[in-house]
Amino acid sequence: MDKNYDVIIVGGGPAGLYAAYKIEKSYKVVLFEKDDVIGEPIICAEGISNNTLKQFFKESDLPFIRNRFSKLKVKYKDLEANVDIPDMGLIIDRSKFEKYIADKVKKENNFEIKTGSFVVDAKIENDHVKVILENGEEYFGKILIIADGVESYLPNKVGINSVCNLIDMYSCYQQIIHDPKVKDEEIIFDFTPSVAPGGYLWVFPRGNNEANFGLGITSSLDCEKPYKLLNEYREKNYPDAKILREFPGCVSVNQLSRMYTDRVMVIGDSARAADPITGGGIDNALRTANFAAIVANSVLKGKDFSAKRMSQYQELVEKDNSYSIKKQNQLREMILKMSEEELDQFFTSAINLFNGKKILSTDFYSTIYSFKSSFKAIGMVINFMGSLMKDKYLLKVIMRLMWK
Amino acid sequence: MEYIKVDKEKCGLCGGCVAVCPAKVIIMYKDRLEIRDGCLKCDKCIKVCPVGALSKNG
Repeated sequence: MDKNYDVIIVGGGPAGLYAAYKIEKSYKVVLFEKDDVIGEPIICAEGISNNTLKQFFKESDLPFIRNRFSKLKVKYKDLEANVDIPDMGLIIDRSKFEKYIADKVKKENNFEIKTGSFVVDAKIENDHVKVILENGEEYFGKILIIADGVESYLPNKVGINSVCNLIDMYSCYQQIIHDPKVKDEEIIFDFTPSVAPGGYLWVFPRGNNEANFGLGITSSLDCEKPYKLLNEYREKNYPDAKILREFPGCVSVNQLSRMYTDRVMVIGDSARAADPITGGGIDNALRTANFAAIVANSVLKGKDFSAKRMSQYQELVEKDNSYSIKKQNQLREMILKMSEEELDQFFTSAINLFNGKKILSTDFYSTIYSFKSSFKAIGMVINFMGSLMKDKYLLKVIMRLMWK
Repeated sequence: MEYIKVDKEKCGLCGGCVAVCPAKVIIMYKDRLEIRDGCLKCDKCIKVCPVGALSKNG
């Protein structure tokens, strides 16, 4: 059997699968997934922005949408902001989502997806990258795309440091609950420090009064474990909730300073590309995957696979995200350093500014224009809300105002 | 004796410990965690675990 490929992709989550889908069909591609089935198990709050979805999936009928919501509630201590966000919110069925992309990869692109295949090592050699499976099998690729998730292991094997600092991690716990108190049309974020230190609590509506109910804390802080904090909150606020399923999860943020090397690109959660404020990983998994595929398609037409050539990938990511990931991370660092008094001021401003507003995604320029202010503090507040709404247009405008 | 022990009942295989391990000695298979030689005893994996599945032995 010929084990030589144009592209080897490691990891069958949204990033790896979408990268495979966007690579030209004429190339020979294989994707390795360590689990036995694509789309299982799922450790995810399943939020994605409507804008991202429209950008990456042109089809009108998307079979993996669980629920659409139109209201955003942000809580902080006794305060709350209620914002109308028509046509912006989506919760997906992550399992169906992955199966949907995998289906396209297999049927439209004719690429191989090998499940139950754990890649344990990778080596960059003269004219290829070699990957080694747990069972000792070796495969060779002109290009390697690493998408091995939060539990990323492979980048360090090829000289890319992907060790994550505790301060750049969110330790999370989530329960899927059923409770008549859960409103299908409303998403809730609670930033009260005692509820979720250095993070937030979320209620993401799945439809039929079910919710992905969870919280994440900044891992470096000294506090109770997330599962304890979540149970305390649930007993107080959703005492009658039925727990359908529960699981821990971790989200790593602060994008890798170097996401490539010779013949290699690192994408999605393994590149620590999740949104620093919300921890949402799917949007940026698709975005980085798309750029990696663009670069792979172009690089394969020539003979130069050097790190310098691959660096185009990071340029594309940073050009696209200069108003997002890096700046969002700076904002996160600022918030983490705030005293409780400063946090009170920050969230009071944010909540007062947005409470009762209606924000249409097509109308962001005028909305933001009305908020326009030369004060950086206001910019930060708007930026923060933009992150919650995961709207790149909004963020772009804010960033122009803020960082000019 | 290994420095770190894993409570398999509690562990949800979320991968946080693998991400923060500076020695890269934790490996997550599809159904289990494995801790190899070379642990630096920094306790970051204990700290990051959302459910307290990792602890010091003894």
